[in-house]
Amino acid sequence: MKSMKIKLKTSILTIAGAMLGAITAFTAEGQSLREGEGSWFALLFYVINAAIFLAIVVHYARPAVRRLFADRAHQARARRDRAQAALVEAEQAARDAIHLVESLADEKARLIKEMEAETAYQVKQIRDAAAEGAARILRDSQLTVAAAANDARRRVRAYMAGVAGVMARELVQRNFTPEDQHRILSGFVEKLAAEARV
Amino acid sequence: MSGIGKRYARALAALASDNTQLEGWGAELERLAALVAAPEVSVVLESPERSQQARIEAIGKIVERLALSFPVRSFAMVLTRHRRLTDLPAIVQAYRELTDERLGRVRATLTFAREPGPDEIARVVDGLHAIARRTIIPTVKVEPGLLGGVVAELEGKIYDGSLATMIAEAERRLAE
Repeated sequence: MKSMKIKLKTSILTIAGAMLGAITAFTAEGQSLREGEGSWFALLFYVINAAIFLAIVVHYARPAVRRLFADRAHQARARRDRAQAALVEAEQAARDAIHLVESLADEKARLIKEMEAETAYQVKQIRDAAAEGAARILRDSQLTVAAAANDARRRVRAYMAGVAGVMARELVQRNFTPEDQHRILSGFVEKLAAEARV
Repeated sequence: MSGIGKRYARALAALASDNTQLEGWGAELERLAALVAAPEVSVVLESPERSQQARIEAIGKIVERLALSFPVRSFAMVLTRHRRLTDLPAIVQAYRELTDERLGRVRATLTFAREPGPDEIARVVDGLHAIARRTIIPTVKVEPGLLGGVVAELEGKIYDGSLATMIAEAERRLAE
């Protein structure tokens, strides 16, 4: 339908062009008449020439022009179709992008939530580990201190005992009397008697 | 104590008719052992260069010099012939124990820090007698390191009543 209208318009324009050419020729003839030259024959001649010219032009140029316009129309339609397809695709991409952005936002929110939970868990773990480590260090320190204190007490006792022993020996060597020996022997004999009773 | 020493000691003891003889022979044996153990005598008796006959003659002179009784003199000659003079200390020890056993005695070593008086020895001997229920023959030693008191050794058992041990025990308790 559309191509029919284009053909009609093309014919009208062709005829109008031919008549315009003839009118132009007629006008030129009229001017020469006013100057005393030209006739209706000349006009007819020019019209026929113009018509033949137009017929030749239409006959030889029309297919090429038609092909040209048909190609142009085809390209234009193809471009339009591609543009429409691209538009549809772009709209789909836009929708996908919107959806993706929305899903990314959800994912981001989920990740933030997970990271917060993980962070809280890790903080709790670190705090528990630190508390446990501190308790262990405290316990070890207490044990170490107690052991060191016991060792120091034992060393002091051993030292004091050694000193006391040395002093006792010196005192005995200096002050030992026969009465002391008598007393010790009495105790010894009593022990022997006790063993004899057993 | 060696079995050989016991056998020879038992053989000599079997010849004794009473306790007095038994003790007397014991004393003679100890004198003989002391002389034989003297370096100048032992060199002569144990020298491999000397013949057996020379050894027998040497021991004959020794027993004569010591004026030993006939059984002990004969015993010494037997030991020499059997080349058992080196076992004489063990024989003497075994004979002493046999004698003590027969006479109901036991030997004890008493170690004092200082030279003890007779009453001190007697008190300790009495105490040991109560345990052993036999006559105690004490051997007294002096060891100044004991500081005071006494250490008695009776039949392989030690009875420690020394001041040094008491102080050491007190030291140990203080250190605990």
